[in-house]
Amino acid sequence: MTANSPPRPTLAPVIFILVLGALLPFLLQSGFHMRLAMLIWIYAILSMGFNLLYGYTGQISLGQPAFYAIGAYGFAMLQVKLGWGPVPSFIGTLVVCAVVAVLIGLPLLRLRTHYLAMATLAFMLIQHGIANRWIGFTGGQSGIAIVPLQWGGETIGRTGLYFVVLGMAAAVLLLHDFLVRSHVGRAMQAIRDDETAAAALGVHVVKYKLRILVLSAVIAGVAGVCFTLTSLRVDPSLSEFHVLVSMLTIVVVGGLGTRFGPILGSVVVVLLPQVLTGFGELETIVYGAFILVFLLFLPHGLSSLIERRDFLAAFKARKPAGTGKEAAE
Amino acid sequence: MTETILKVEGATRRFGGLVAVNAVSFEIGKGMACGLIGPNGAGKSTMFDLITGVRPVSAGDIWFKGQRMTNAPAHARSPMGMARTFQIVRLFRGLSVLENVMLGLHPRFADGIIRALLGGKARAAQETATRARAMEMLDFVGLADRADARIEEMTLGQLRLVDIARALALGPDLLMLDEPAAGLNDAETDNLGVMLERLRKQGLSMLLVEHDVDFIMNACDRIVVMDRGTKIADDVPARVRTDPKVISAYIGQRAAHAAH
Repeated sequence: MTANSPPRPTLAPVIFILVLGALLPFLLQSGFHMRLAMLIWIYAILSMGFNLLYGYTGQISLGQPAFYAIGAYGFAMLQVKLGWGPVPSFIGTLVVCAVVAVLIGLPLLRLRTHYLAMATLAFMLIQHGIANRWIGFTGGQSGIAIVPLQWGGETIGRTGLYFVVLGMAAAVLLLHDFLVRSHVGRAMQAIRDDETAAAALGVHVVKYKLRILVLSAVIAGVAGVCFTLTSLRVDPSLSEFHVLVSMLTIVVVGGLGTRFGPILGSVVVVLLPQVLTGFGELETIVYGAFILVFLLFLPHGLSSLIERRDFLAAFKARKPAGTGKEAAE
Repeated sequence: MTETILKVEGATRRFGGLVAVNAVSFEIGKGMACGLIGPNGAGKSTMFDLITGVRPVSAGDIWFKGQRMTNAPAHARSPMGMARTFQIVRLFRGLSVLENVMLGLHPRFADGIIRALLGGKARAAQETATRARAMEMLDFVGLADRADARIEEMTLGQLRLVDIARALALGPDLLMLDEPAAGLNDAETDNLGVMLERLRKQGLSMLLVEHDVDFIMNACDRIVVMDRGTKIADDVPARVRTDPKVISAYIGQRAAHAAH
């Protein structure tokens, strides 16, 4: 008789997060709080794309903010310059992100680790340069403004807009969760852990890397579109370093390669500075100290606390496991 | 004459000026357990890499089940029925034991993300079947109770068995083991020997690269001996054991070691 296989992860936590998200507009009173909530979802979308690419597949591409900016600019420019409606602009923008990702992915994915990081960072700088300097095309520093989203001839209010952003985040969260729990997620993690062994088991490593790069670029594009929808304006600050730093902080604080790390990390990274405003001039220092404490005591992020069903038991079991590892070395 | 599973024809691999494998030819018949031995630097591991497609051949051909595989990429060989394990255990540390074995069944899934998303019930059924098959494989190697364990919690002996379970999952026609006994203690080596004997009785064709000469003499029907890139013997274990060329290759190396 074959022993029973261990239980599979369920969809319950995903549904819990989305229900909580849907209840937020009824709990938050001020417009400022609603803006923060939308910003959390936007950063969560951006970071889920990066989590798939780096956390699960091990490809450190720092070009994600560029795709975020391309998404935001594309959505604004297709509407303003070509007069397209919001829906065709949204689809067109994602197609642009995918095409650009294929074009940079084909040559760059041959590179690994910090070489890939540097090359993709260069891509981000090029994108930023175009947004900043090609004034006739991108509007330069002043950027491009768009009209608010409308439904049936009327402008959609803040709550309506929140649900549009939540809907996008829900779609990305469900996609992220489906992928990491499926054979695709296993193949991604296999590539991250050992490309040679992955190939020996029949995983087409090059194809998978390119697919995930394109997917994460499209997801970053979705985040960019959400940003444009909420801020009604795009400018070169979209792909400045603070976006990259925020994204990296989110995945590290939340937990790299975890199911809910990007969402937990986004909550912390968006809310922490708000909580810390009381410190006045010391805010940045206290914020930095918080991040250091996170890295020291929770190297696998907040998710490592939550996703382990038996955290204490796992902690206690570390000693005998250590001896097993020594034997393996 | 039984059907040939693997045919290596004049396989050569050069690294710059060094010829690591020099025009080596041999065949493995269906259901045969073939050993590949040789002193350090004989080119065994390179030969293994050529057959599995990790490195391309400089000259020569690799035939598998009558098909020319010489230029097939590594990832295309496993779906064709060629499975391998690694000398340094290469399990995926981020995945559980069960998930590692499930990866052995990856080629059964439809390729691509969009196909996975649109897979619906067929994909879900494949996932369930894959889990069941992976559990069956873990049960075969006696590790079903460790399915949920993490890789770093396992001993080296257990990891080798997980690696074998993963390689067996697809039901390969040829199992290639790269130094499966390396680093194992006596009890673990005996356990491995019993496992391989069971597979051999089931009629699985195998290629074993091994350092441990006693282990391989018991486990194989036929032995290919390499020394400095060339094949110096290809016979049944009893005759290889007494072959003067083989003895001098091994003793020559021992003498070289002694001189250091």
